[in-house]
Amino acid sequence: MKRSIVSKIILLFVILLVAALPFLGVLSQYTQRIAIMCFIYIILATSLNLISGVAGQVSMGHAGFFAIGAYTSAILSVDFQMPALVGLLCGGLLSGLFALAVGWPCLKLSGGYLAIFTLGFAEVIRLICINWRSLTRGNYGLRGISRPSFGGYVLDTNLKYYLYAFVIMLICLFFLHNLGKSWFGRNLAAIKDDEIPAEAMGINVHLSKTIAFAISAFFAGVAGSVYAHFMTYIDPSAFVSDVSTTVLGMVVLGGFGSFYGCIASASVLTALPEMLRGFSEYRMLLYGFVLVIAMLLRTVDVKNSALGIRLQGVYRTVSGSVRNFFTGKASPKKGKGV
Amino acid sequence: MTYFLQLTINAIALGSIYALTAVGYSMVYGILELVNFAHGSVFMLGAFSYYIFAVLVGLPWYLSFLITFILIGIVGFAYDRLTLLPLRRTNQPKFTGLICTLGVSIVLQNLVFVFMGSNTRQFPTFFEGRYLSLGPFNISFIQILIVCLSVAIMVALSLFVKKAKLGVAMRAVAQNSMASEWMGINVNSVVSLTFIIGSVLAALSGILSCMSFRSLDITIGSTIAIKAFTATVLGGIGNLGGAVLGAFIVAMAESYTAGFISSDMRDLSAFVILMLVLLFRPNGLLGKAVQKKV
Amino acid sequence: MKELLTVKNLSKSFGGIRAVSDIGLKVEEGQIVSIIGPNGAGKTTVFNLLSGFYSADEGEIIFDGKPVAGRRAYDFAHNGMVRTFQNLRLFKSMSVLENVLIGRQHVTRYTPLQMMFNTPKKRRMEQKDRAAAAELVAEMGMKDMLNVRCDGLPYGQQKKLELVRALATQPKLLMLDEPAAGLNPQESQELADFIFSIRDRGITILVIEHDMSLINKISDYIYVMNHGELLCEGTSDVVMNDEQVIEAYIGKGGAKRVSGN
Repeated sequence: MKRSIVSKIILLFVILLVAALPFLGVLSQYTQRIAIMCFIYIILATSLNLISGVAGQVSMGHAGFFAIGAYTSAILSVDFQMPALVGLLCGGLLSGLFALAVGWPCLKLSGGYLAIFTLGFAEVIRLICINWRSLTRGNYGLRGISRPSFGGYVLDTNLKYYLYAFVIMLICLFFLHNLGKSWFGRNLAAIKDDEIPAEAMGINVHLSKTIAFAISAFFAGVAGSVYAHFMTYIDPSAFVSDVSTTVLGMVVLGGFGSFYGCIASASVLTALPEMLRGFSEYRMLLYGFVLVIAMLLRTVDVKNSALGIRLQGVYRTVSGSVRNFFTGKASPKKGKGV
Repeated sequence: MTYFLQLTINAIALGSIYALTAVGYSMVYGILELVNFAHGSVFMLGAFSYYIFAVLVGLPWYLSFLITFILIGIVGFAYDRLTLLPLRRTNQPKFTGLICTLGVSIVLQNLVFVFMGSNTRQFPTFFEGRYLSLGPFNISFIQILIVCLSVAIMVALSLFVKKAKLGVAMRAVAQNSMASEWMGINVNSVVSLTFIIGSVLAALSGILSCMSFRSLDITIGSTIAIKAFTATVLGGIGNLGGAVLGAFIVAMAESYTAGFISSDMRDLSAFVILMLVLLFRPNGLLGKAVQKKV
Repeated sequence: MKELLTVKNLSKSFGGIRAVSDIGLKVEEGQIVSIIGPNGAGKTTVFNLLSGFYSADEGEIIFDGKPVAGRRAYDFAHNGMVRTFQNLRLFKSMSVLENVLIGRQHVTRYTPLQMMFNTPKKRRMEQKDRAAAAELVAEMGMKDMLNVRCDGLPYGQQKKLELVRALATQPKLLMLDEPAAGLNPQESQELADFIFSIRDRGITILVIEHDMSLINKISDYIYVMNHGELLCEGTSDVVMNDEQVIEAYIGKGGAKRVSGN
């Protein structure tokens, strides 16, 4: 009990700290920009985590839903003068609807089909964005997307948008977190583990997968809207398949199912390349290696091999000290397995 | 009408290339039930390798082919042994293989990007664009070469799979790897062999494709991946003949789309076919519905 | 007693092979009914048909008065027909408690809205859910292993967990596929007691088994299958002395050998 109250207080503290950061003058315009991109990628990663990390259905199409949300919100703003929040909701809903249409037939089949199909889907969306020039202005890009305004108060500075994006992200995280820690999240984890007994226990596997897919697409669309109204300009080159790969990499690095892990990996993987500008050429190459190595690490027999035991030792020491720090108690001795 | 037939002729040549790619893809999928994302990257890698040896180093075409095939064979072998075999050995869930092949595909693609850049290059070809005129139709010599080569390889492959010991072993492992193991077949060797053959096929089709279109760039891998997958699914999983059939259907759809609708839309046609197949006949045209054993 | 499950003319073919042919059986509420037969007789196929994993080519399945043939597997579980798996299909990455919680997933259902907003009601239901699951686990004697990852458990405990998870779904009919496989005689006896205790909770049981002593101990009625067909049915005295049954297990002339010439 004590531990959960402590962790809740720490969470609140962290949230307030991040919210206050720009006011403390610690962040330059440039850093604020990176932070906003972090918020966007955190939404993308935690939403992809729901379908791919928790439910185990690898989707390579997140960039497509990101694009649908961005363009919907942008077009509503530029051509119909709709407020940003309306664009946000519509972008999310449209993405979700597309996901329902695409997911329903695809998710009846084995995992590889979804991966390839979503990859193709995202590419098709990008091609449509390039070619449907009357709607999207093609490669020229959509300009003049308005910054959100609330009763005349326009979020014209990075600082103001930082807070907006932060709040949106918190709301998304709130919902995604709650969805994960529920019977729905547990069912998805069961589906990832073994679909047959999941179905035998009464889980409608196909429906669960489809809903998870639609939810993850919804939030990707929301992230798209946040992106569009921040940049005030979007073009199809922002939605290449590299984005899908990057987000998947964040989910994999975050532990492939771990909510907080994704938040951490998304932050790091968004901020780091910015700071390592010189290595931008090698960024995707590194991602590729990360994906392969992350999978190969699973093959390390944690209990028996020499490498495994060493890794175990490191993990125990680190988690032990973290626990000490928060609870002031010595970590309980890990009992031998029953 | 002549336009339609000309498009069809183009489609046959295109389909031959796709057939080579799709068969390699289908082989790996049939034996491992794994979507090999890296197949498209190997397609691209093969083309680049030939380019490097034939153009940058200046070797004659037969040496460039030989070295490329050897290199690609090694890549295919290493790919399986270093990354996929450990996953199989420790019984990892299916999605780990998927992510792994994705990672490999990205590594290969970006290795080429880092060393060769993203600009489009002119690709060497045979017969320097000479073509045959049969009445109103034009058939380029390279197209004829491609079709003949593909047919020859298809025939050789189907004989191999039916008659040769290793070929039969491949089919056995694809159907039931455990039983094959008990019968004394070294399953891991067979799988590696499948990867080598599949990779070499991908590389060859990459080279032929670039010879046909006379250009080379790093995006060719990703576009071919969807088409190969569509052809495989269309024909029926694990069905090599079906993959060939699927390849020609995809090529025809692409050709007619480019000819009658718009060239920009040509890559979309494969995706539309994929969508239709998944919706209406997920087992493919020649595949059989298999009851999952519980 | 009310007839809970009625099966008529059930048939299923794979390719050209008739796996199950014209099977009919009845299970009354509160009974323990067994299906026995040599390996390959089609027993697990029947289970797969009765749990929605295979769809029958012909035949009727009537459960609790409702025809259920052709429904999806998760529907069968909702209706109260739950099965276990011969080769164990636990959720390997999850703990004992989590496995049992999955069993309860259709019992405890807060609405999506409550879920999204983490309302106090949802939190209360979660707590009750966990408490009930933990209680069930404790009742089954596995309290110490509540949070242990189930693939770290010894085989006997894993088999038990498979059963407990199925129990958590609050079934009307529990279908056990070879629950005694791999158990020693003592564990087998414990299993028999366990099955009786399940019956005492008001759950009807259908069992596939090879362990004859277990079958004789627990069964109210036995169906014998061979080559996909029903060979014989009756109480254990009838079935154990039936010539055809003995021959199916031991071979032709076996009846003479068993009766001591």
